Formats: sequence, structure tokens, C-alpha cells
Amino acid sequence: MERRAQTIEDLLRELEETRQQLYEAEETIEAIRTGQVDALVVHSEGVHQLYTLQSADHAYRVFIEKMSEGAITLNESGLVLYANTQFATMIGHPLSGIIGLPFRNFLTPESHPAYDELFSASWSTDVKAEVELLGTGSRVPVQLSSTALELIEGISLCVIITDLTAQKNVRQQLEHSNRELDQLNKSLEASNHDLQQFASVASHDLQEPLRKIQIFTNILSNSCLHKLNADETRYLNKVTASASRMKELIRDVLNYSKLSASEERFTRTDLDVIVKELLEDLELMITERGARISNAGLPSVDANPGQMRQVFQNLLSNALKFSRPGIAPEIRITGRKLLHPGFDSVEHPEGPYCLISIQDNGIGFDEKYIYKIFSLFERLHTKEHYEGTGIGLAITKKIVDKHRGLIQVHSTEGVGTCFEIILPVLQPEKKPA
Amino acid sequence: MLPRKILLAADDSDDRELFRLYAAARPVPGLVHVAENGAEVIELLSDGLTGTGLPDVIVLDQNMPRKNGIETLAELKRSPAFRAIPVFIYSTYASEALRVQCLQLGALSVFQKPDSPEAYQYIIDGILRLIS
Amino acid sequence: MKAQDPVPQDPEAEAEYVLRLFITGATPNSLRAVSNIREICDRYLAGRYSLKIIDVSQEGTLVQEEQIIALPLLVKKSPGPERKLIGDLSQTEKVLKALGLNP
Repeated sequence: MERRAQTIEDLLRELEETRQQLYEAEETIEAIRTGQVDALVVHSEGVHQLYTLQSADHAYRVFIEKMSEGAITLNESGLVLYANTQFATMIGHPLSGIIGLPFRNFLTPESHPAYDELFSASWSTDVKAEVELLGTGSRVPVQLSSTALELIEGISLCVIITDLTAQKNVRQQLEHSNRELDQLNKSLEASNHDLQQFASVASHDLQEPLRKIQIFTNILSNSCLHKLNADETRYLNKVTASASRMKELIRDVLNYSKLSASEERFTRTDLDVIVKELLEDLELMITERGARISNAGLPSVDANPGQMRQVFQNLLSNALKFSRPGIAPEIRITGRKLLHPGFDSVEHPEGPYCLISIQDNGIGFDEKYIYKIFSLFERLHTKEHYEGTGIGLAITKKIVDKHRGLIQVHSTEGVGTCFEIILPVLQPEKKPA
Repeated sequence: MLPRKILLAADDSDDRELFRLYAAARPVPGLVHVAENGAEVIELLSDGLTGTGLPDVIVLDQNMPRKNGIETLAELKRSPAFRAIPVFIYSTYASEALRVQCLQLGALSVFQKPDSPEAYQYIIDGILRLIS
Repeated sequence: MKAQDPVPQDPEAEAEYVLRLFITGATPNSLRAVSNIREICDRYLAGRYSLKIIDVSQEGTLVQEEQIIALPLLVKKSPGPERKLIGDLSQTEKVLKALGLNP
């Protein structure tokens, strides 16, 4: 009955609508046939599924959408043909408010000249420029990196937009920490200077009263030793021993601080000669302990002879000192040439570095203390049994450092210790000041 | 042999006492005149050691107030009246640099402060032998 | 007003021609369609239209509201009956026809 109520106009309109639908359907088929369609949408059970027809570029599209840079495509008049979600996030606009609008609209006025230049140059070459985006309430520093892309339908511009905010923050932070580091360095220098002042004062002013203690105890023991009982003699000897130990300490601190201040002056130094002389000096100690020392031969290097002597003196006397009770010390000195400044380097008879190793069969130490052994005043063994100031190895390390060398140590408790030193054979010529 | 006249400049009274003690104990004794600093040395010399004439030798401590050892040495060597007197310098820490500087200025020798009675005797012996 | 539209004032309410273009990202057809519809609008409908371009690969929810079968898709919401055109919109006379602008 309803049908009858329809007027001719209604029917005509219905006809027109049907014809229109048919037209649209024909057009759709035509569009698909001529390759104008990118995707089909299939409705099933209330779910819409998107089927792209050009799946080859699907991966790229996902990539573009997911990447952390903004990506846009501009046509020849600078309109945004495409923008990825990241770009929309950068400027805080919905995508629908971006596409089809001039990209220039999203830049700060100050950025327009740079952008215009980039835009006109981009068609013939790849161009980069730094500009500022107008974000919501804030300016976003970005880098634009554009490439012209020639498609069948014409040329367009692909622009990658990199947010520089984090980078600029990092740069600022870096500058800030550099300034802090500078400050720290200055105060370190100052405290180093103070330390040297202190060492200098210590060497002079502390030595003075100490010398008095030594002289007057000496006079005292010369004049009244025969009047003292056994305990009193022992006490007096303790004073004398403590005084000479303190003298040693002061001397070593002074030597250490002098090393910091001294300029390096290197001359060709035959390490073999130095070791030979040292062994003569240590002869008494060597015979006393029944030590056997072998030297397989050491090369000549550019070095400070006095300091090298100190290094070998420290290491050899350590090796003699820290021997196992009842076991004669056996010390092996060897020298080899290396290709590279590293303990794992290949040996080479003409190598520019030399590796010196000093191996003993002494008491050794637990390798967990390695980090301590080269520090000032660190002693791994009680001084009751093994004398020394605890400065020797710190001085040794400092000297090796000053020679641009490396030092390392391996040790096994109850088996022995091996010190290894790498020194450059040649030192760079010192430039005249 | 006549006792040797030694002029010692040291700001430390213990040093002065020890020096006098060990100098006096020598077979040929040293007669020690003392000054507390370099400026006083010049004054004493200008007075001719208050009538007893110039010393046979001058021993200067390097570290003294008002005028230290090197400054005094330089002044002595500039003076026509005093430049012939042998000068020894001593210091708690006789560095190579100090040694070189003193010898260049005309000191006879530089030595480190003794830290035992034996060292004192040895040094005073040496000084007396060098000037005899 | 649609919930998805964050612009407080709806330009669609004032425009004579209300158009929507649905595309699928930066595909050649979509890019061409955007370019073409902009040109046509500026030439024939300057000042009289509102065009919203919707990338369904980014704003998936919008697809639910429209009877979309293929992309790119141009929808004329007004004036007159709703009209749809699928393709890259490169044939101007067909676009004009869909907009009801042909003689």
C-alpha cells in the first residue's frame, strides 16, 4: 500500500538514485581496472578490514608510519600531500588539519627564508636545513632533509623531519658537564699544587726536627748506652729505628712529588747497563739471601736513566724482599720487542715497544688486591715482616706513566709475582719551548 | 797550629750548638763564631768579628730568615774585602739545583745537614782540612 | 560534531560544499588524489568548500562511519544527495560531475 502512496516524483528520484548508484559502481570498477585504487575495504560481521592492492610498498608504509622521524610529501606548490603520524605528533595537530595545507604554515616566520631556500633548491639536489616548527605552545627545532622524487604523475618532495630538541638538550648538557669538568680540573690542579706544596714543606720542615731526633738520640746512645738496662736499650733502639723509617718516608714522598713536577727529559738508555749496576749495588742483599738473578738481556730505550734505575731498584728489591722464608729468591728478568703497546701484542724483533718482565718465586699476593698495589702508601704485607714505605710501587707506576708506558702485575700467593712493563722504544722529540 | 776561626750562620740554635761542640772536639779546634742569619753575617764581618779579624771559613745555612745562604754567598763574592774567604753552604735538602747554583756563585762546597754525630765530625773535619 | 574532530569550531558547518577524501597513506594514487582535489576545489569552489582528508591507515576508526569500499574515496556530503567517487580524481569532469558542478 505504501508503494501506491508514492508520487511520480518519488519514483523518479528513486530511479535517479539507483542510476547514480549504478554509475558509482561502474566508476569504482573502472577505477580499480585502471589502477587508481589503493585499497579495498571489506565489511564483515561489523569489522572493517583494509586490503591494500599495492602490498609491495606496505612494508615501507608501516616503516614510515612507525619511524621516530616525521615524514611528509610535498607537491610542487608546497602543499602537504602526505604526513605520517609522527609529524602530526610533533606539531600537535590532527592529520586532517595538515594534509592539503602548505607546509610553510607550520613553520615559525623566522624559519621561512631557510625553508624557501630549501624548497627551491630541493628539486634539483638533496638539501638539509634546520628550521623551527610551530608546535602547540612551543617551538620545535628540527632538521629537514629533502629529496625530490619523480613519479609517473609528476615530481614531489619527500621531506624527513628530525626532532633536534633532544639533540640540542644533549648538546647543552654536554656543554654544561664540560664546564663542570673544567671547574673540577681547575680544583684538581689547585689541590695537586697544594699537595706539592705540602710535600715540599714536608721534605724540608719535617726533616729538620727529625734530624734533631736522630742526632740527639745518637748522642744519647753514644754517651749512656752502657748505663741502660736491656729494656731501656731496646726503647732507645726503637726511637732510632722509627726515626730512620720516618726519614725514608719523607724521602719517598719527596721523590714522588718531584716526579709530578718534573719535566720529562729522555735520553737513549741501555736498560741492561742499569740492571747490571743495580745488581752490583744490591750485591750484599743478594748474597745475604742466596738469591739467583738471571737477566736474558734488555734493550736500549728513550728514557730518564735515573727514573729507570728507580723502577728496577723498586721491583728488584721488592722481589728480594718478599721472598718465601727458607726458599732462595729466584728472579728472572727478560726483555722482548712488541709490535703494539699492549700485553697481548705480537712479538717482533724490530717492534717499536719493549716488554720487560721481572718474575720472582716469592710470597706473592692475592690478585684481588691488584688495584691497590700501585696506590700511594698501600702495603699488602705487614711491615713487621717486610720493610718498605708503600710508596715504591706508586713511584714505579708514575715513572712508567711518564714514559707513556704500561705496567701490570700477576701474582699467585705462595708461588710468585711477575711485573710486566711496556715502554716505547722511542719517545717523541720534545718541542723546544 | 792556631785554632781556625769559623763563622757559622744558622737560624737554628741546636745546629749552632752542635757545630760548636764538634768543632771544639777536633785535634786542631775550630773556633766558632755564630750569626743567626745572612744579614748578621755581613754585619759581623764589617765589624771585623768585633776585633778578632776575618774568619778562615764561612759556613752558611741555606734556609735562613732575612737573607738566605745563596743571597749571602752572592753578596760576599761581590765584596772585594770578603770574596777571598772560602764559603760552604749546607741545607736540609741539598738538591742538585742548589748545588750547581752555589758552586757557580763561588761556594767551595755544598753539603747536606748531618744527621748523626759521626756525620758532624766528618763534615767539620772536611771543612777544616779543605782550608788548611 | 564528531568525537574524533579536535577542532572546536567545525568549518564544515559553514561551508557550502562539504567534502571528505579518504586515502591510504603515501601511495601514489592517494597522493595524486590529494593533489587533484585541492586543485579542483581551488579552481571551482574557492571559498565555498570544506575538505577533510582522512588517511584511513592512520585514523582507522573513521572508516567505520562511512560506507567505504575502496580507496582513495571522495565523498560529497553536501549540498544535495551524498555522492561518492573512487580513484585518483585525475579526470576532472568526473569529479565535477560527482560534485554536481557539471553543466
